[in-house]
Amino acid sequence: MINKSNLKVEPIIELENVTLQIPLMSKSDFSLKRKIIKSVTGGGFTRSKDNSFVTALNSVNLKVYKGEKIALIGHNGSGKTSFIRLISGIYQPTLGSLKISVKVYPMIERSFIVEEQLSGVDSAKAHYLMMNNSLKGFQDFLEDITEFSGLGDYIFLPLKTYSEGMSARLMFSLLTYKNHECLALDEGLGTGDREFYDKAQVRLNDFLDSSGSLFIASHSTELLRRFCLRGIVFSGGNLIFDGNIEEALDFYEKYHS
Amino acid sequence: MRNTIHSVLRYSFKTRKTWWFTAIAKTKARYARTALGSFWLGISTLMTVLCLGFVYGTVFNVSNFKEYFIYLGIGLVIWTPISEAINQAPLIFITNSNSLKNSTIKPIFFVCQEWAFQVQSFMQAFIMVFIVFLIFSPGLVLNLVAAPLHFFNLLLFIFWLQLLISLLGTKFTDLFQLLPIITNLLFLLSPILYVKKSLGSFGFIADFNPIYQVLKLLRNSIIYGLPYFQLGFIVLIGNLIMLFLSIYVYTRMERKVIFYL
Repeated sequence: MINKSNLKVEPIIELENVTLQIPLMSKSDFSLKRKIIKSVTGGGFTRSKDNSFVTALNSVNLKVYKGEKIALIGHNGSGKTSFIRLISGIYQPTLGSLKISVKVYPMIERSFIVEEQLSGVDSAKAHYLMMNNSLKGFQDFLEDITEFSGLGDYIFLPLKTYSEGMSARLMFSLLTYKNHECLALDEGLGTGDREFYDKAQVRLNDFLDSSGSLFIASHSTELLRRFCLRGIVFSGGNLIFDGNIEEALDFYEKYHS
Repeated sequence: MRNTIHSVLRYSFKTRKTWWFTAIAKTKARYARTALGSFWLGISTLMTVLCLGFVYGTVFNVSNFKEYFIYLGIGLVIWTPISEAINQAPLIFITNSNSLKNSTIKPIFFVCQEWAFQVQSFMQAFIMVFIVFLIFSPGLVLNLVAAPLHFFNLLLFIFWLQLLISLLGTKFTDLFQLLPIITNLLFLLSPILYVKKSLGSFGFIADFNPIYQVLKLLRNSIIYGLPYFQLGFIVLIGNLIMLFLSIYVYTRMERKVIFYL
């Protein structure tokens, strides 16, 4: 558990009036024909749908300090995933100021980097290279992944021969191998079959405990209470509550009801 | 502007081992169920050369079939990565949209990956076809000394062309339908199946075809052993200008790409 009094004064993430607007692309935006007509007619032939967008986040103000573990609370479509994409650098703010001094590692929807005709080893290698830009230490990584996932010799077989549970076990093992300075997790990580579940829980706990700073977006209040001291509540792209996790969960429950 | 172009180049260099590996993985995946694996890249080109060579050699009434096969073979091997790069480019970001939306991998990574895939495919096909041609014309091996600059030009050309088309093709989805038609037309208009003088008074079409200029210099340097330094440097300068221009366009569009997917 984090003691706020020990936290550094300088925030690692700071949002000031950050708005994120996602443009809605109509068919005409993608049309080469329409662009050509527009250029030929000097813009005389246009449609006034160019400014359609969805406001995914609206004037969000937030400061996050090193070591904080924050629960992102809200119903589907409230802005949690957009917030994770924003702080990870996948999205850039449309308006406002965003200052980030750490590398935020997003875990949203993950899939294997290589195609399913390739083996678990190839998949592990691609993942390792993506994380480290080098294969130094890959053998240790592969041994750990193979042992923890319990795949054994199946690691050498193509991914397409894996059951859903085996794929989930491999994916979980790959994602939780390395600790991150700042982790942003969207919902829980799938763990595959039941017998792997307990083993995975211990690793997930260690993994989340050891991450420097943490954001978890989840509907599991148990998971949020276990890891977070602070909770922020989103609704319709607005940050409507920021405070203690228990208060945030109470607020959300009352707000939602 | 310089910093942004610099950061794109730095990121591409930093992740080079990863995109090179994932490109190899893509080739492995494509030929995973075949007995001959990536040898098919060379075999398919050789079979095409053989079939087209006999047909068009007869149609054009060529006097020396050995020379014609080499002319056609080298031309086709060089043409393939160019046309593949053009045709596949509009799909690069679309096929990797899941990774782009859910991870911090930058769009340029997938352009580099596709480029590496085209380069690896080209090298495998080229080596195999060239070895077969060496059996009939061993002197070709010495001509390779004249070709490095033109090889480099081909690699640069494929990269910037692919980058530019991938950006435009993601926004203007019609391009994916249009480009195969254009590449087919360009193939027929470029002296690959036939020699340039067959175009007669329409020879200027080849002169103003940038794809043919890149192809011609590499093909002729390999066949005739002539370095064409002056023309090679002019093409190099053109390639470098277009490379920086396309990276600049990328820096302007990088943040928007995700919204088109």
